[in-house]
Amino acid sequence: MGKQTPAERLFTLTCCLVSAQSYGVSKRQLLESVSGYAENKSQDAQDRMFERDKDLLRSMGIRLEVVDGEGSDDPEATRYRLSKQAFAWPTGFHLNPTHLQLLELAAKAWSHRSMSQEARAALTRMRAFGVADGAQSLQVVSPKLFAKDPNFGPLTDAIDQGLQVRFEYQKPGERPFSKQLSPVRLRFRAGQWILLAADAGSLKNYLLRRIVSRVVLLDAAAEPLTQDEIASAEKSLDDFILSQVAKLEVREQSEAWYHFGASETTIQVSYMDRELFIEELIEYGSDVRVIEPSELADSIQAQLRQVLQNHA
Amino acid sequence: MPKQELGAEEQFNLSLSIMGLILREGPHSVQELSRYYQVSETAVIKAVKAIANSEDLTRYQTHFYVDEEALEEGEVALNLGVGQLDTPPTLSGKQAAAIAAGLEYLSSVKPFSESRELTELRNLFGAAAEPESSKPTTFDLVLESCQRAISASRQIQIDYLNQLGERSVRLVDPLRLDLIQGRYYLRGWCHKNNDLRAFRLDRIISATLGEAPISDVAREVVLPDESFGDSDQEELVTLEIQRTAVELFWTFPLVGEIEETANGLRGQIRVGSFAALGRHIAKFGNRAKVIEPEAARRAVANFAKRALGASEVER
Repeated sequence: MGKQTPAERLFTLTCCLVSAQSYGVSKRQLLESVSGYAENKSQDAQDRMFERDKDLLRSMGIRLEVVDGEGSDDPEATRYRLSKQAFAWPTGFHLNPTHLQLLELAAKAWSHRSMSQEARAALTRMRAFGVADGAQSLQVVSPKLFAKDPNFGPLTDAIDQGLQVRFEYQKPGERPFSKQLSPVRLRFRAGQWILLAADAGSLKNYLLRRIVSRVVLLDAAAEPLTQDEIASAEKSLDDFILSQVAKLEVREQSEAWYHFGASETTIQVSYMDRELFIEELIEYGSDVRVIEPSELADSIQAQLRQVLQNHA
Repeated sequence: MPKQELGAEEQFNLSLSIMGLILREGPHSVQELSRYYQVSETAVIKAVKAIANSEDLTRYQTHFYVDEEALEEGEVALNLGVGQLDTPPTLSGKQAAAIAAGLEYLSSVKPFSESRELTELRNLFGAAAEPESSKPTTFDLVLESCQRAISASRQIQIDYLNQLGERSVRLVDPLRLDLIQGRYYLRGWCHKNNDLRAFRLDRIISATLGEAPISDVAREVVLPDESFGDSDQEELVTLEIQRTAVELFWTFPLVGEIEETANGLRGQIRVGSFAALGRHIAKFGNRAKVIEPEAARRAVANFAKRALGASEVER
């Protein structure tokens, strides 16, 4: 057997850790068992290599546990094993070619470099549960997540690590204010990324575009929430969107007509956020007029007058 | 097929996945695995060698038996030795988050929003999702025609309403559908302009799939990743905006750096048509302002005037 490559060393290390089962394996045993370490004569180099590999496995989601206290002088005292959950895929987990195509699109959507690497690694791993000779259809759609927002990465990190975050949030017409929250999930609704987060026990939605500072990860652990609480908060946003309805008049065969899929000139449209809806309507200029609610129509008129004044 | 070398982590991850797949499905050819994993055949062979070279030196035990002769003939076959590893590890939190966000994004648009498989995947990643269903619209028909035209490499004729409200019929060699911020764009070679163009799908009034194959020039063209506007004649526009309007600097090509000012942010973008700029600025109301040039400021004012229903429009 030739000299092991780093990938080979990591693979053998994983095999040895899995074989060690619940009682674990000592560092000395691992250094002797894995040829990638054993072939290295210097103890220091072996130690450094092992430390790096441990961190790498953890960063890749391979949950390495320490059975006894790490840092003991006795190399036999510290034993390592892999968490049982590390390989616990759902029973009967299987992916058909359509699942895989969707996962591929989901992974390709990332233009953010580190998220794209994570997504690609996830896809590779999940392919183990697919059908390798399944018909490969041509992907004609190239999705791109509009994740240029620099806060996307820190928020997913905080969700992953179960930590609270702090940022400045600015509502329309108000000054920015500081929020400390437990982020739960990022959702995409009505063309916007929304952060679902707990604020002292109550779950609320925050638009990513209204976060006007860098997101800072705090040491404090996120508030614990049940799946039911999360599902109910998600549903309440969807219900809220359906409850907000405006009556519009659209010019026939205009861009707004096609955008809203109108078949008559008076239509009803539901919307998520008042300010975002105003933005959407203004884009269609004189092709659309708000009939109801009248406050919405007034806000649009006021905003347009402001634009006129700013550009006079 | 990407031929670049994989890093150690990716190569290791590939070994874990191939191990799980072959133990579950049985032997596969190197070529098949290369196509399936979208990596080079060399990467597949390296991944299999990592599985073969995983002997435990202290126990002289082999975790896996890899058929080395078969591998030389391009076949990957392996069995579990004394090892206990038979599936790849589950996903890390970050890996799962990256996939879940991608799926979340797809679920907001047709045809994915109606896919049962997408719902199953989203449920797997913890989202309480159900497939949506709605009546087919003009948009669905246009989307389907575009997908069929791209798959069949056939020309498509579209009736298009541009952002200035001008309607025209164009023959297009369709190449790809980009899905950006929840909106579809048809990217292709436009025979009217003899150039690459991006057409927003919700502005395509109708699409007719033609019989003719796409042109040779379209076949050979390299489609750039990003597409901005329809004009080659772009001009610089200076904007001052509040932070909540920062997407203006992502929607248009930014020139130089964004500068922080007392009122928010200041930066320069390249704009193809001042007339089309109006809507993008006006929608932000007081939060976005064109500083210069004067013609761009006038275009924004004109847009606001027209939208207000003013009878006289300055030209």
